[in-house]
Amino acid sequence: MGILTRTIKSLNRRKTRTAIVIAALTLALTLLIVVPPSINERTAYTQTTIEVMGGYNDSVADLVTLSATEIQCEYAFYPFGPDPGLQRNPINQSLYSAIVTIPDVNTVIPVLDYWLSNVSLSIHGVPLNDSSYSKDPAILPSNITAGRNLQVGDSGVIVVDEIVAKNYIWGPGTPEEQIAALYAKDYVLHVGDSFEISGHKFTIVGIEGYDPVVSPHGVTMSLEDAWAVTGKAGMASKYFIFVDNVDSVGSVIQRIQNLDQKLMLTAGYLQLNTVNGLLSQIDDVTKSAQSTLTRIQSIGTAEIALVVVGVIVVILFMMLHGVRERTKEIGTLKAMGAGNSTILGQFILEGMLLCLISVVIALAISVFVMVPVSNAILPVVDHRIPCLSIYPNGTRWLDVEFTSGSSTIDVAPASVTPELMLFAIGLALLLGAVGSLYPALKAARTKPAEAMRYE
Amino acid sequence: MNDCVLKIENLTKTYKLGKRNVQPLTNLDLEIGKGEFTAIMGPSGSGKTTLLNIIGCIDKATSGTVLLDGVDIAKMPESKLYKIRRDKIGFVFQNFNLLPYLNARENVELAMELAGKFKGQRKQRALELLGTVGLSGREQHRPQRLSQGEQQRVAIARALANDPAIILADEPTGNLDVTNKQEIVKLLSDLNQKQGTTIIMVTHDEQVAAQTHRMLILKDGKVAEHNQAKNKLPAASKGDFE
Ligand SMILES: Nc1ncnc2c1ncn2[C@@H]1O[C@H](COP(=O)(O)OP(=O)(O)OP(=O)(O)O)[C@@H](O)[C@H]1O
Ligand SMILES: [Mg+2]
Repeated sequence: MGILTRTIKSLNRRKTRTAIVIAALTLALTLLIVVPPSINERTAYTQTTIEVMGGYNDSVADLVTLSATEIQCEYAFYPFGPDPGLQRNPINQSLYSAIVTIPDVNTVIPVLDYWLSNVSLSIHGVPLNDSSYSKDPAILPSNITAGRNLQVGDSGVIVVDEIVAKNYIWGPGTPEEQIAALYAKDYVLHVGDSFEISGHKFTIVGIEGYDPVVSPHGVTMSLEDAWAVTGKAGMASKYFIFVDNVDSVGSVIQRIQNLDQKLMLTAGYLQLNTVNGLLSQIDDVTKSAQSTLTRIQSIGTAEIALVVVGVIVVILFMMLHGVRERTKEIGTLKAMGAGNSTILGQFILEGMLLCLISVVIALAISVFVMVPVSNAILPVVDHRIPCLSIYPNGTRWLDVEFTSGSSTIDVAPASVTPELMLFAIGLALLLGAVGSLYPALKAARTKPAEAMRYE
Repeated sequence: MNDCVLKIENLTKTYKLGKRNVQPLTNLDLEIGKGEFTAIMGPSGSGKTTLLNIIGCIDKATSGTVLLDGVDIAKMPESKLYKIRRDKIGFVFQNFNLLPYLNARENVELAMELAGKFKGQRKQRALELLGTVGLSGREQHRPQRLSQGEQQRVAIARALANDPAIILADEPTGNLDVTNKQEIVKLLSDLNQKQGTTIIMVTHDEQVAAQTHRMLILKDGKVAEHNQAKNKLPAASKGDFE
């Protein structure tokens, strides 16, 4: 029969009170166990949101920087015109030479988008030289799911989109049904296959995955290959023109317009305010995530502090009452030769034991009630982030917005881990010791002669 | 009395109660020999308990010397006193003061546990002692299931556990009926006679006191021998005290 057995027997003698105290401590300690992992979980969610929003902000900012010095140049849409494959007048090479010589023009990227009706293929021809796609990588597909993208100097190779690769034909039905049917279909073309278009042989080097928010490019190839396939040598459907600085955009537009009054010219910077709304939306999401995070942390900290104080107070009063009630027992122990440290140890042990029993029960309970309890005592956070769509229509030009879709943040759910168990048990023992320290000191200081007179 | 267990010289105890002083013991001298069975009597409030507490190291003398087994305990600090209580003193109280949540054997063992005795040794001795006080077979019973007389026997076994130099019993029969009273006094007397245990017992009961070797009267802060006890014929003694 050691001091531990004696303590257990002493607690067992006062069953009802011990049970009530353990119930109260268990309740408090359950909160203590639930709060830290819940804060961590919520912090992870909100911080991911903040990071993703930061990324969105950067993307939009890049787009703004890019678009601010950009001019798009094309002829008006003309569906039943002489060339149904182009659906607008082509821009010919003489204009290209005229535009590149205009002062302050930095880069001109001619792109040929052509509908080859005889093979039902949409051709996307882009210049594969360094200056083009280092200036505007968006002229190439962005969502390569197999193989590789086109590279500088490529020729005779193509990237096909998923619809082409699966030889999918859009049928009747809602867009959702169409997309599901597309995803379900098997690939007919693979990376490495050769593919003939209008008598020209190509090797497929990559597949562009289908993404509901980004228009697919059909068959992407070098501009020269596109000229050969379409027979539109030297032609372009559109020019992306970049000038050296924002200030010269106006004068450059004027000079291009002077070359041909029918050209439609659009300056990116004129549309910049359309992204301001989006930027402030991103900012709102970020700020609300930040304030939620602060709120969660302060509420959580307050709750922990409350529980810590609560546990200490419960132990303190329970033990003070016990010491008072057991004055005679303490006196007897002292008369029998128990030293102050023995008495001190016994009462501190009793406080620690109460907390230990309670924390073990609380841990067991927490395994089951972690989620509902954490939702009851801490603000709930969004587990999803809105998706940002950039270039949703293949035009990419400042066409950026939140889509109706969202993605789920992948965060390990709050749970009772071994580390948490160790932490909780350690803290509970500490609180038990701290709470019982004063009563135990009081017990140890009891004067036996007076204790024996005490009734 | 050459073989002296306790020698008190010039002991004074003063309690301060606000501005008033209470001095139950004034320049008290007392010697107790080894193996003596002494009764202390005296009116209520005369300082009997105070004296016993000072001898038992649970109260401090205001002045004077108290030599217990040749060691002056009057000036000893608490950090050393608890060891004296543990090793040299065995207390028997009027209210028994057993720990209610421990059974008879555990109550006896507790005294040895405090003294750091080993488990096997403790159990063995506890069973022996309970046998000595006539409680064989009741070892597993908690105090509440024992009669008052039996509880006092457990308390006596507990007091004997660490082979103390002296047993201090403060009105050990004060709460007992006539039969139990007789049996407890007989037990103490047997212990004294057969095992040579030194016992100082405070009592109000002259019949109880009469069973001892020596009767002392505490009055006006000092002890005086009670003459009729001097003949050492316990059974025949019938004092006219009070
Ligand atoms: N802690 C204390 N503080 C103040 N006075 C005390 C204290 N303890 C005892 N006294 C006083 O000292 C005197 C002696 O008390 P004590 O208990 O020793 O008497 P007693 O002879 O044992 O009496 P009784 O026969 O009633 O048990 C009493 O007047 C008592 O009030
Ligand atoms: Mg008394």
